Amino acid sequence: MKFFLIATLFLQSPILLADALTDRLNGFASQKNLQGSFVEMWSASYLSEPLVTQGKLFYKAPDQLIKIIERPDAIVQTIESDQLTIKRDEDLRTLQLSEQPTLAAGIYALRSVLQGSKKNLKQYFNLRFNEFDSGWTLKLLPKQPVVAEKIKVIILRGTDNKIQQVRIQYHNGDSLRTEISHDG
Amino acid sequence: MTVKRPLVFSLLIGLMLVGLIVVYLTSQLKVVSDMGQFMPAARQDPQLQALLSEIQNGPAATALMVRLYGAEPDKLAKLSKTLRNRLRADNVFREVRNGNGATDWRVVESLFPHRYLIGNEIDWSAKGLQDTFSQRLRDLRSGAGPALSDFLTTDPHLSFLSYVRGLLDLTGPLTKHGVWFASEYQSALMLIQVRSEGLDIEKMQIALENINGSFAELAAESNIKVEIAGPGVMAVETKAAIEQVMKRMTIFIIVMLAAVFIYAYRSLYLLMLAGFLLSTSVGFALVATQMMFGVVHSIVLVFGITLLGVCLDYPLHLFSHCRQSESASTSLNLIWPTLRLSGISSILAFLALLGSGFDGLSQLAIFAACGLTMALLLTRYGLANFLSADRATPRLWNIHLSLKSVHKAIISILLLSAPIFIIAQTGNFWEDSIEAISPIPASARESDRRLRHALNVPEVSHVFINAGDSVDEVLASSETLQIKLNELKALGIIKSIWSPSQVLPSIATQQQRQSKIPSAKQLQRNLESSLETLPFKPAAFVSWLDVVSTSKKLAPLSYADMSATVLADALRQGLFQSGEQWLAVTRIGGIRSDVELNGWLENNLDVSDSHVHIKTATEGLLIEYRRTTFQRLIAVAIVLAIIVAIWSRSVMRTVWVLLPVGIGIGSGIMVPLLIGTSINVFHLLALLLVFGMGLDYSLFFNRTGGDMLETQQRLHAISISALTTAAAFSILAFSTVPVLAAIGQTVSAGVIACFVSAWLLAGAQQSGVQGAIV
Repeated sequence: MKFFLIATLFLQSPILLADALTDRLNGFASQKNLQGSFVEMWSASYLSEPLVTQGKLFYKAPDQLIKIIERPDAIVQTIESDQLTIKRDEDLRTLQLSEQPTLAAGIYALRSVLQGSKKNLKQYFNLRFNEFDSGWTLKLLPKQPVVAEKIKVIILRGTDNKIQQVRIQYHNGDSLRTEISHDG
Repeated sequence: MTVKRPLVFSLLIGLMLVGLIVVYLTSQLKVVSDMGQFMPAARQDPQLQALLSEIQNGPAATALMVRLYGAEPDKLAKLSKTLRNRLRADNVFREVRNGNGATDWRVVESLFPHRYLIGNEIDWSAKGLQDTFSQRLRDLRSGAGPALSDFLTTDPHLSFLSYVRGLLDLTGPLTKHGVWFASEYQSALMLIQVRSEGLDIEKMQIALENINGSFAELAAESNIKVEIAGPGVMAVETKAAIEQVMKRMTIFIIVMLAAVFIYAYRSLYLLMLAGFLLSTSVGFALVATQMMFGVVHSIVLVFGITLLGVCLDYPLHLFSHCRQSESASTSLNLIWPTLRLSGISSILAFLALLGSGFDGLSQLAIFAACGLTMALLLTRYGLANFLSADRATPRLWNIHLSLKSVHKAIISILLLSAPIFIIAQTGNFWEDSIEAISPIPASARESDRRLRHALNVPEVSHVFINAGDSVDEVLASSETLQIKLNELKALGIIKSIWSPSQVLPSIATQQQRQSKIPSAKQLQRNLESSLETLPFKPAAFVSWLDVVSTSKKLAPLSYADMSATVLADALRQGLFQSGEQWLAVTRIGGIRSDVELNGWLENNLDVSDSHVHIKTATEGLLIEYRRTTFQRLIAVAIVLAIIVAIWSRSVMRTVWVLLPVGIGIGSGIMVPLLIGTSINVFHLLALLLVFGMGLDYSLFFNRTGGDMLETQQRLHAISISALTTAAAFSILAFSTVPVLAAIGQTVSAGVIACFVSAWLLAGAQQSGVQGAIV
């Protein structure tokens, strides 16, 4: 009997978690505009200390993300659809995310969650979602071989409908951690 | 019925000849449509010759430029991406690009160890390294960490990435929605390379069909339109235009000849004999041309087949002169001296094209001379064997005037004066523009220019050539040239410079870069100093220091080394061998103004020495060729006049024989001028044909002796010849291919004038009775 109960619980847990992820994403999908501040740290084996940048982050549904880096340099990164535009002083560069899959992976992860799109997430990643009393964790394992070759895992952490941390771990030990605090 | 031995023998010989011709042509005939063979051969300028050859046959010749327009930019971009993916899966194409994309440096990974020899100059000082690493820090803060991970500790200057991007990326077009757009965003652009060694028209045709087919399928439900430009497009259109003329002419000639033979000779058997003679002559001419040149140009094929309508003259003379009262051989023997003289004159006139400086026209000379010779020989030794007295019953006619000498003189003056008057009134007599003889329509040239400018693909009209005895010598001089041309770029007169030394720097430059690399110890000190205030760990760059030190000892990259990489094509676009010499071609793109460019060149004579404006240079050669052809024409006229004088043994008779020829030549020049076309080299060359035809008519009309029947027979043969020749060449006169139109207008006008004047001035004096068609 005990065994039967445990087995049932074990089998049901993925289903329950999947429902929880859907609920969580639905919560994100209902938010059309978000803004907050971020602190981002890039750690690499060739750096004696993490590189820290700070600034503001804006999201506007369905696919616009604006990252305004204020310190130490003033840089504006605008992501709209498949295009990433980087503006620094008078210099303007444009990249296509589809042609830079490793660079785009983190953006796709963040944006897909903000969009509340499970379909987009599943297109690029295998998902592992966990929910705790203190919050939730979404682990994303890249599907594309060229991305999986570089990125080990992308982990998003948050509470309720707020993403508080995005962490990208690379196979070579490099990592990018973004702490987000939401306005309002 | 006893079959005569000569007939059997002739039949066997004829069949054998035809069999050999068919077998040879089936296996060996190669028809090409390369217009370069009708461009000046540039024999005096081997550098220009090599360059023209490279432009026609090099990698630039296989590029196609595509423009999508007629919709909003996002829709154009979407179609551009879909079309790109579809075409990339097609093996016909080597490369399909619609944007710069992510540079895949791995395609040239083998060159990575040499990055400090072939990449840009590096400042190895502590300050220089500090600037580099500071820039990398800024890049990392911009979020470029993942993109830089492959390079930061192996090539912190990003030297290799810059080198590859500089070669593979296009800097001209703007990018929107991830694809190239023309500056006004009205058109999405693509650049496609066809998988082919040089300009292969068949492959180009397939490529165009595939692009148009894929586009039609993908854009079926939209208003988007496509425009394709490039050398391949122009070559395919030229070939199509020539083929269309050929088809029309073939049908016309067949129908015309059938009608003429049924009416004038009342015999399809004679048509069959004439057809056999003509096709055997054409076949023999093709065999001779193919054997001598290895290929036959399509324009030679078209013109040559029409030209061989002249060959019809010989059997026509025989058929028209046959009588019931004598055998065909006897009739032939009577006219043979005149026929032979006429034939030899025509053959000599065409042989004057040999050594003209145009390979295509030399082909024409051999084609025509061999065809005419075969036709003459077949008429003399074969045709009469197949003719019996009852086979040739020509429907003769006799339309003539009785003219006195003074009337003939007045008519001569009038007929000669008209062309002279028109020629004297013409402001622009000579046509020296290469565009006037190019079969490429102005719209196609404009399309090519517009797309080339939008994509910032190197121009082919303005180039700089450096010649030398070795690869390294020309690379070194092109490096010096590029430094000077940078001023043009700084002034904004041009947007880009492409030099082969950007792909492969000279050995001296590579060694100079090596010499600037400090010793391992010094480099380490510089590195540590540069990183003192930066958050990079010096220890992370230990292996990079080893690599840089190794670079000091590497052997410089050679032409052979580079030829083994995917950059071989890029290098070959500007570096190739011509005989013993090497040529480096530096190209410029995005010329703002030809006037500004020429002005700058006038003030920089050391650079202008190596400058070649292809169009101007080619036109200069064309003018030289035109002069040579004109002299050749005069020489032919003098030689044939001497021959006629010797034949006629009379000065007056020589004058009367040559007058119609002169009138014909005058009319051949006058008609194009009246239409509004200036005279170019092909008009002059067509005059050789007028000369030959005119002399044939005049010689026959001026035959002495003979009875009334012979006079009628003479008129019959010549009028049919003139009618069929003028009719056939009038088809060419309306062709959209300028070369064919020039020949058609000159010959049809000249032949008609020759016939009318020869009949009025010479034939008329031998008849005194009006008659009717019998």
